[in-house]
Amino acid sequence: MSIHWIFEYIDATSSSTALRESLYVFPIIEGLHVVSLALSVGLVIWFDLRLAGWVLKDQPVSAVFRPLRPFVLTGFAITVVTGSLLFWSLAMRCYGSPFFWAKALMLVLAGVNIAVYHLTIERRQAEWNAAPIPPRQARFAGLVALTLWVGIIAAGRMMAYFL
Amino acid sequence: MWDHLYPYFLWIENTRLGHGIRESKWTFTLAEVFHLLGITLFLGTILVLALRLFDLVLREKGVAETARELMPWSLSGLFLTLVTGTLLFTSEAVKCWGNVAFHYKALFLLLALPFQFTALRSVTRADRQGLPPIVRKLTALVAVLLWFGVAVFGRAIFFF
Repeated sequence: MSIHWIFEYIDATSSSTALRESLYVFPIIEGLHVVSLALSVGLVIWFDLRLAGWVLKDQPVSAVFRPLRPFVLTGFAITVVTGSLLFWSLAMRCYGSPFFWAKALMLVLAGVNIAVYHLTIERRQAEWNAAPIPPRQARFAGLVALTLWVGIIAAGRMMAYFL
Repeated sequence: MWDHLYPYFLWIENTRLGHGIRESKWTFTLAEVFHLLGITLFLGTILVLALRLFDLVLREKGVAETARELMPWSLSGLFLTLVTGTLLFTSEAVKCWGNVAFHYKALFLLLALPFQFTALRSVTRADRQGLPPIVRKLTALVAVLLWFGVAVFGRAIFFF
């Protein structure tokens, strides 16, 4: 069962066709996907910028992240659900788009970056939580995240343009 | 009113800049990419400031200090959005002229920009900290609604 077969299967489902051909649902989902970026990526970068040691240096890292978390999670819930629906409706066109694969790769890398951060340097957060400039490994995680968000948004926009 | 504006929109589209962007596929696409990056950065800062005015985030930091720290990022995002948006508009001004979503976007933008630099800026100033919370919250809410209105109608241009 190849990836091509799975994408073809998704593309041929009646739900995929209905979504693709819908007059109002598709534009609404696409609009929500784009506008929810402000809530998901637009907010989470403030945590990434703090990790990088660029902003809000007088605030502990936890004081930046904890209050933002519910809003960031809500934002990502909307972005991911609408993004998955868009993918579902256009699976075969995604398959043929290099930008889709670039975006998918960067999303995986973003997930790995977050997992590495949680499993390593975050474990010792109590030691550097209040430091204006976090340790090198935390700054690195912040910069990697910022770079990947820019790449993911750029690839997503290009993908939509050439579909 | 829009009928009277038609010659101006036609003139903008026929400028050398308009022609140039239309004929180079990559300029248009890259302008779209940086437009979206600018929007994400700018709307993100508006949301952080609104959440601060609602006392939901960064409560240990003063409103004026928070606004000052957000400012360079906010203005960079807005600048990037406005410059790329102008390029995109120039390349298809006539299409925008006849597009009802663009009409609403223009209206929201004409309201959001002055609101940003008068009302919102004034409630985040250090000497205005005595303002009742309801005034701060309402100002934040109106700013968010106006800017998200610009974004939603902007995205809708494509579908009309």
